[in-house]
Amino acid sequence: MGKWSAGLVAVFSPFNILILVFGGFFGIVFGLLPGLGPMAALAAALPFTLKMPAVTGVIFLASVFCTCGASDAIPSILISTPGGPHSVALTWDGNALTKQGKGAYSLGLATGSGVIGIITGWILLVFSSAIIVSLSMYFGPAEYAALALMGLVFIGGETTKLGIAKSVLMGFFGLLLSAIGLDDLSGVARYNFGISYLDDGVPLMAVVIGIFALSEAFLTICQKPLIAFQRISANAMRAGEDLAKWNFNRGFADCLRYFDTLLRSLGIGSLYGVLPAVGPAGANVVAYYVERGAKKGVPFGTGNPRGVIAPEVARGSCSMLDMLTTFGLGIPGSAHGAIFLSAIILYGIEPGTRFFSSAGVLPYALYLSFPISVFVYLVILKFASPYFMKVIQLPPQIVATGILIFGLTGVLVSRGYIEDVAIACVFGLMGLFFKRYNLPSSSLVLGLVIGQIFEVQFRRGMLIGGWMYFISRPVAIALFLITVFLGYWVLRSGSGDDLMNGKGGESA
Amino acid sequence: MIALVGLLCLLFAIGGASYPKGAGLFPMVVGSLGFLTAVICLFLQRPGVNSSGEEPEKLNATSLWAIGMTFAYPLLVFLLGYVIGTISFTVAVMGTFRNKPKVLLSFVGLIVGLWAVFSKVLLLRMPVGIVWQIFS
Repeated sequence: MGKWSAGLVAVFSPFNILILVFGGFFGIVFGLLPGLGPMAALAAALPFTLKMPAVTGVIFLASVFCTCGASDAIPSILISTPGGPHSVALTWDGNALTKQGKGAYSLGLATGSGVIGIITGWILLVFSSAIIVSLSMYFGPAEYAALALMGLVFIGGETTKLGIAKSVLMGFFGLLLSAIGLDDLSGVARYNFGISYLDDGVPLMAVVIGIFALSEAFLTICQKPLIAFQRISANAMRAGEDLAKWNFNRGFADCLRYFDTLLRSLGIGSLYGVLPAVGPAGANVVAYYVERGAKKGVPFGTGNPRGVIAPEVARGSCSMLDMLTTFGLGIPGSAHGAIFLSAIILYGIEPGTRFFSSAGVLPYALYLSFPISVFVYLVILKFASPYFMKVIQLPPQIVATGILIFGLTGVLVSRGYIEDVAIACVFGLMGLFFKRYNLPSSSLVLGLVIGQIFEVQFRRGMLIGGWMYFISRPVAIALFLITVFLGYWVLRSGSGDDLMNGKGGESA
Repeated sequence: MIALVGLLCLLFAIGGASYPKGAGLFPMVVGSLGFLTAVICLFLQRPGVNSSGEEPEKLNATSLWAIGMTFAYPLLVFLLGYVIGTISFTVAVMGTFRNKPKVLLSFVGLIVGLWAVFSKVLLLRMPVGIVWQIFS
């Protein structure tokens, strides 16, 4: 308990509380801007943490992550423009409620269920972290390689055959990008085209900012002025005003009435969170369809409260449990986890077995900042909501220019190399084309992070005892069999080909 | 786009053959698997099956200009330094937008603010620009 209380003291120091609140505003602004989600927010926030004390840095990131994820519900519900793939399913019934004049109620439902998801996920995270860390002591190269393989199979958390294939393709491409630079084991320079700058590999920060922030800015500029930006409906405006008057209390309290929906979605969100490399993007959509399947005869897509609660609870719990493998094993639970992982590695902290023992108060402060950020979000929502609608109405070109300035500056300061900016531009353009052709960019980033772990662990295993080494490790075999079984199950039940191609909530 | 990514995977796989066995095995295996996955994707997305048939919107002149200016940004910063380079970039990008004077001023304030935070508060090295270095 001593370290937990030390963590609490660290979070509640005046400076860190200020940073937490600043992170809250930062995250909310990114969450409110349509099309921008936690990935863009974390990518833009990361450079600010470079010279901060490590504890302050992770508190800032945790605050940005939690508040941005939660506030993404606002544009999804009010103007039917999700902040990212993790809040797509929320638009289907959430916006239908707004069109019926119940926008504030819908926001209340989403906020309440998001809070329940995050807090439950956080409790599970706290209690299971110790188990995972103690298990990781028995993990050798074979187990890490098997776990990384599991991450590769479920990369992106897609549910359709085509979606899975595209996700795996992007994952493979990310793995290949991770091979650029000096080989850790043999010292051979690979794919550097004689440029010594590439010996260190592709800079993750430049890739993340390019793929998630710059591409988003390019995409926003490409679009003709969005209807959503130009003409926000009267119902949405009224919901914004109701929000200021805290009129969404009824929705907030109402989500407890749908207890069975909460339980089902918590289960799905937790499962998606525990699996490596599977993020809330898949969890929210799957939770929605499971709910639709469980409640046959009840119309969905027409403003059903269960259609708002299910995706948001799953998103919340999944986003917390994503941190389990990220910090406990060093295998990112999602693309968000990959950014957190790169941040703590930048601070010189090693994830895995020694995360809780050698990083002092940092892990405890980080874990405690998640639920505290949720309360910061609720407080900001209460007092600053009158200004939210103004943020949503910002013209897209201005938003895009702001993102470009933030993103380019972030890359520039991350390592101080101008070449990094050029790399970010290339990945920004690639990200733009990936988005235009529906290829999941987050899988590429996950592949890039997992690749570095997978190749080194796999080759270490091969050096220890060849293929026999892998066959003689029961945990690795079990993980491999689980991967095969779950992969088969996802493909078999991937009836989502019809679901993901069209709008989800249309049919009853 | 899928075909292009698949082709890149294949090029990685072919390139892997030129490295020693230990260093080349991983890119060869993953590159080949990536190429195969691209073929599967193309098969699954063949016309009339999973393809929506909708072509993405073409890039307009404004977006091409903004993307081009972003690619010129590293050069601007290298020559003019962070503050002047970023302001020039913003002026160029915003040149095609309406209602610019007030917004532009806000962005200049933001850039100077970011410079102050990073170079004075967080003590990070910001490029001063080769032109400035020559004249000073």
